Amino acid sequence: MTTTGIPQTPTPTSNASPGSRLKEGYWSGPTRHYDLLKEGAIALTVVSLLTVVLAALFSSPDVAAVSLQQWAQARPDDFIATTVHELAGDSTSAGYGAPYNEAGGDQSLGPISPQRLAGVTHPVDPVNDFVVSPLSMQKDNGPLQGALKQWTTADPSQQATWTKNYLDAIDKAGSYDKVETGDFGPAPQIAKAELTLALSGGLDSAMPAQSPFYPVNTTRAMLFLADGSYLDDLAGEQHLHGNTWGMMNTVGDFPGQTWLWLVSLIYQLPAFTTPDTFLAANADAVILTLVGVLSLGFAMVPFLPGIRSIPRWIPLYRIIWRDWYSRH
Amino acid sequence: MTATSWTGKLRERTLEAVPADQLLPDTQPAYVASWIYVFGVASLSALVVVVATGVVLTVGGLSWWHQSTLGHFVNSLHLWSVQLFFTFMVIHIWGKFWMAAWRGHRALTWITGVVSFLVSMATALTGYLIQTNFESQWISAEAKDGLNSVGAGAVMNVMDIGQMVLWHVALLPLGVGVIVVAHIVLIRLRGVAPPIGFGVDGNALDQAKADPR
Amino acid sequence: MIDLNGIGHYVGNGWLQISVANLAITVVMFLIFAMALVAPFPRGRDATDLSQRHDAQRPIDSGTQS
Repeated sequence: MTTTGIPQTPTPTSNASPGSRLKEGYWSGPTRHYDLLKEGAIALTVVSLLTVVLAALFSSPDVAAVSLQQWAQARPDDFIATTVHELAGDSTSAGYGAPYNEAGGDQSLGPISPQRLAGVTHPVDPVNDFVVSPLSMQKDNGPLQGALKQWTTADPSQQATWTKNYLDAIDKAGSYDKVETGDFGPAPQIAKAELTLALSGGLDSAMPAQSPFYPVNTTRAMLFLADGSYLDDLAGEQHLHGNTWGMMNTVGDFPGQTWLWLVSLIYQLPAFTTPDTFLAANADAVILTLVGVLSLGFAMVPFLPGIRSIPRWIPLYRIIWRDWYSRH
Repeated sequence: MTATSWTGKLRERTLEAVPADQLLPDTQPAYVASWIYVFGVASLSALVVVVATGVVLTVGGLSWWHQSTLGHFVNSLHLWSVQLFFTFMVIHIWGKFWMAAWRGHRALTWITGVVSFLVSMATALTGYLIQTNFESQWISAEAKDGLNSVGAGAVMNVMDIGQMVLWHVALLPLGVGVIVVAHIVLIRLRGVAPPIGFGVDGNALDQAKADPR
Repeated sequence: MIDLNGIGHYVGNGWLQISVANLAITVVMFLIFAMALVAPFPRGRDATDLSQRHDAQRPIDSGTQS
């Protein structure tokens, strides 16, 4: 009998050994009638209807992908500049580090760099993969092949001089097609050939990672696209940049990945946005490691002293079980 | 234990752990009388809709929803069921936290719940990545930096649609499914956590021995 | 149908900003949680009454009664 005098439901008979902890968990106090399957059926029906209503009302976004061709059409100057930076070997991809190359741009957690330790598993050589190889396919274009040969056989310091001069000239002239002659070597010819190939749509199919017939690995095209400003500017218009909580957002007025709020929040902290600091330079590595630790902590709440007592200190449970507490 | 065969021993251990009337009970403790308790089954229902709509999208293929009005609608169902899934799951977590539902050797139930939450987030990420539209491009450009920074990019290439489709449609849903099943089995094994301050016999716990665990 | 395409709407001040859609979802979640806590829950049939009727129909092993 309980203290209220209500007869208890018989404990389910069990063959559990006397010390079995499993048997301890079974409730032997007052019970109420309950239909598990009916509740499940009702929940499924309600949720399904709610989904249909939301989908019918709001639909879903589908902003078309950006092709290299579109980039070349919309921002030819940015395209040319990016190509020249690839030739110069100072683009974001060229200096990235693992898993693409050993350029040394890896982030670290101080003494260790998980990024570098994981190794170069998806090798990418921006100059060859993005520019020289696609253009080399135009075997009939004698002058272009000559320019490519001049480039690939030149000394690295000579290449650096050509690209620096050309980029400075584009900057000064305001546009690549207003640049006059100078000591640029074959850089202008190669960059313009790359632009022409992109404008024709040919570059989009010329940069797959493995088989040219099944381009499911978009790594090369994505890295090249992300080296420019076009994709970045389009994302900025949609509030998708990291410093505008972009991780949580999506295009238009649709709800995004709101569950990423904590990760996004940490990225906004001044410690990670102050330029030229260790934390800013290694923000991804530090923040994701921190989030990993917090996630582990979240899973371990039952074992964390203090944290696990919060429900007792702020007794919302008294509202949930108010009926029970009023009767027992 | 009377059985000597592996099968017999498994049967006896299973029935010992969860007798028939606990596996599919038609009664529940009297204190399970709050709307906060519906968010577990609501999350599960949303997950069923997510998987069902995902299966339809899988039948149609990766580019179907870009070309077909019906496909786009199914994509919308998939998106909104995912939003409902996370909404209900988070409310469910809030409820379980404020009830300290890990008490009484139920820590593993809490842990499997958190793990299913995290694996669901990874599944959602891969889902966004295989949309094959502008959002996929941007998310892959950003996510690659995060994953690469901790070395995970060596294995998970978010720009490889071939890999991401397989992860989203096969690998990660399998992970979510296994963990959710484990979570539900643990709830059946342990029963619903009693009100704070009360034991499983319905009597108030001795305050000196009361332990949130 | 409500068209959510186009440039999204955001609210916020300085470094703190959130999309209207995300804010709406978050507010709705808090409201649902609060309502779930306080909304009255229908009292079901007390199963101890049912078990007493069942008990009357079949013998109970006294060793299992507490």
